[in-house]
Amino acid sequence: MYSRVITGAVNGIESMFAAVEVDVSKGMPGFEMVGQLNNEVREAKERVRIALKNVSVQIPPMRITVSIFPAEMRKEGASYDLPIAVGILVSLGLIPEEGIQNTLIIGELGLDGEVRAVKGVLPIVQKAKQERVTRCIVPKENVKEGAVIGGIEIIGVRTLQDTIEYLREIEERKAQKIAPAEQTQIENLEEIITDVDFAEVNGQESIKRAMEVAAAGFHHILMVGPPGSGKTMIAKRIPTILPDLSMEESLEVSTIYSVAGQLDNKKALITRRPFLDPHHTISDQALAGGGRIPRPGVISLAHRGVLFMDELPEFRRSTVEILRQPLEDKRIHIARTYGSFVYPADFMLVAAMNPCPCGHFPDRNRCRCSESEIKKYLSRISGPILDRIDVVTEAPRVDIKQLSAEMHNESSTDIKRRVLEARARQEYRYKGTSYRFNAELRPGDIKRYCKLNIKAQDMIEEVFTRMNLSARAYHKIIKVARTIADLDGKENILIEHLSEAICYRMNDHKYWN
Amino acid sequence: MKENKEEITQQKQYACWLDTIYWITSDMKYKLLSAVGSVQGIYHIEEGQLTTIIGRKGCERFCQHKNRYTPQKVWNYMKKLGIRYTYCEDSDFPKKLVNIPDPPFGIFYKGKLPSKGVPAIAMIGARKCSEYGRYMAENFATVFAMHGINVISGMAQGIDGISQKSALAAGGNSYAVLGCGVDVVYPKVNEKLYYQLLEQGGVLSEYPPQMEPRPMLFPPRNRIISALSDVVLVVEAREKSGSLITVDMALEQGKEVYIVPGRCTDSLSMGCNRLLRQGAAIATTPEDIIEDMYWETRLQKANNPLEKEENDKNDIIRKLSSTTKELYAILDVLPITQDVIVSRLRDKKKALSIPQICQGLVELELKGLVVSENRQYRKI
Repeated sequence: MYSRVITGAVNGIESMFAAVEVDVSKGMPGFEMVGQLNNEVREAKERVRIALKNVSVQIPPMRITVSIFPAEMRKEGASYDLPIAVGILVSLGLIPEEGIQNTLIIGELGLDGEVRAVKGVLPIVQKAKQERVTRCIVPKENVKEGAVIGGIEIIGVRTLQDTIEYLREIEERKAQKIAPAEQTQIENLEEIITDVDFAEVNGQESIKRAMEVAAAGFHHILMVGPPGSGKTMIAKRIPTILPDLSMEESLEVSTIYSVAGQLDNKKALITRRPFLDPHHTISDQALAGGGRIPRPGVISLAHRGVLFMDELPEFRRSTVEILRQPLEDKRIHIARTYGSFVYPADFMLVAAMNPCPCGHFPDRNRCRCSESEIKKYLSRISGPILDRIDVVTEAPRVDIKQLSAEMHNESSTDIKRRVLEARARQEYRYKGTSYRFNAELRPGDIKRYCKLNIKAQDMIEEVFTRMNLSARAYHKIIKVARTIADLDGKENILIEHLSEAICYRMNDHKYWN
Repeated sequence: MKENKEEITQQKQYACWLDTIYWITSDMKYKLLSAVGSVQGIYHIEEGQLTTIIGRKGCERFCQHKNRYTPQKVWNYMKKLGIRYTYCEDSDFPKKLVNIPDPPFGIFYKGKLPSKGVPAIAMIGARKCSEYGRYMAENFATVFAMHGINVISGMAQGIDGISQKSALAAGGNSYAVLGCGVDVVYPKVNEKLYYQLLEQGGVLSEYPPQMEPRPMLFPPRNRIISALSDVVLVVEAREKSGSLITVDMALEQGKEVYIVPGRCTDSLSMGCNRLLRQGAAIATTPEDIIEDMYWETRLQKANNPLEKEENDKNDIIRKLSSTTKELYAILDVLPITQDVIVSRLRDKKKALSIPQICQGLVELELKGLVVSENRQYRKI
């Protein structure tokens, strides 16, 4: 007898429908599986057979053929175990065919019949809803992740036995067996307590202000300073001043984490902006994503959040160069034997570095690095990467007086409020365009959105000639000035906004230009 | 008369040929000269006599050189490179170089030789100098240049190069003594300075052209720097510094040594402060030295660019807004970061927000009162 079970698969971060067809017929006893299957999928045969045996289902000596389609897609992972088992049971008449109508089934099987967690439940459920599937049977551990999407019944099963019993029930009594999971509420998931706050940072006024500006316009930022000047401390606090993720963004980010297998019942939805700080020994693949079977890399996990690269020059040059495309296109394209994938990678780059190998330049009483050593050190960061960084700020050495002083510092909440206002202004301005933040502005549109008042116009002209700016530096200054004006609640860019933006320019001409 | 001149030129060619053998020290060359009597004679010397004076190995080098080049060939080559030469018997050989221990036999140079009778000061110091050192060097060199005093140094990075650059920028003359051939630009970062020196002074070396810089070549050249000067001024030096070698040589040559003092805690001033303890003279302003030395130099009042600059600056400062003026008062000739500005303002019970400070700084920068480097700000 023939049966067909709907299931889903993830390709990159796109999810797609797949179906498991099972035919059980008389003939030479055997178990065949077709449909461009990967090794893990092929191994399902053994897992399914033994799991069925261990829940006391006798498979009669018949010819079982399993086909998974679409055939042209390569299938991987163990998530087809449960649909195959269910398909066999339907074909054998042990589960009524109506039981699996409009039902998507996904899960990995243990030999004892346990249903184990799988990756990518969130995007698959999302896809299922679009395709008007009414019910999804998912591993218990993935229930909350699946239930993020409302308007679709999510049934979490712990064992194969559960699944069989559930599917055998007539429709009316099903809910008594296993109630559909309630929609996951975002509020319930706020388990991350922010234990850091900008109020704890004494002094460092200029760098805090630079962070505020960068956060408001989603500008990439570079902090330069000696060791122990609090670069890392400040970077860790950036997420506390970034606006919360919108539901739409949250789903987007969660999808990536789901595909990467980083969601579970405790963390079913990503509601905070991600903050990733890869160590500088990170491999190219771990950063960009990839592998034989591609998985999202750190830059994709930092999507809509912060990618903090501490000690930027210590990263291998090839690793840093990877950032070029994502910084430009906000996504990364990975081509491997198993196909090519596009992962989103729209992150705010926060980089920190020392001014020289020993870290104390220009304090020559402590720094004895030669000019050529400094040059070599700084040149590890290529021009194209620096070009994409709008805000450069100095992290000065903190003196003991500042550290021990009892100071009243602004809390993250206060800063965040201003950032939110600036963001709201940008949202309003860019309504109906593809822009979201000032940092994204293309040179062609700068004139349109960044209006300078007359005095500021005169000033930028003077600055341009006096300070010998490149066209790129000019555009960067205007974009940053736009953000500062937004923070100030002004429609036009005034002299004070422009001045501040000029202070954030990269003025190490000596080495970098 | 004409014959005499030709004779001199020919002698010079032989001397130049002899001096391009780096292996033979100037001491040996002097010995040869006193034994033989003329440089031409040295060229035609017998091998036996040569060996007794400069040893077997020296003799080998001598013959090797002789087989490979003729004095004429060496001379033409030098001409092609635009390099000039003077040696101890020449009339234009600097007298200051004669009466020192281990005098150089000859000097290769491009540009000019230091003019006689003009006071000269050697400004030396650390290659990796601090901002304080940079500021002091600039200041001293500018004033010396405006008094018409020659600044002599080694064209190295740091104090050397900064002093020479400032002297040239103020319209003065400056001379560099190199630790390599005069046609080799070392260090490369001072290439611009090198060509400027050719215009407004000269580049000197006792080493033959095309000689690559080597560490052991530098200490000996320091004796020429001090010999050419009347005063040696050390701006910044660590406890173990090459500048201290120059000071030793200067003392040996009987020159005055002046020191720009620094803070006791700065490692870059340790060497200076130690010299002060040992009894070196202190120089807090360039005028200190000029007065002590009874140099009859005068600042030309009429076209004193310094004063005019100062007046212009004061004019601009007077027109600044009160906030900007306050900010300017906080700033220093040593660079400070924005956060230092914030805390200094706070100490004075004045609160300016970061945007206000930025605005002031950019205004000052555009007016040419402040420079920003490495995100730090300093007064000019």
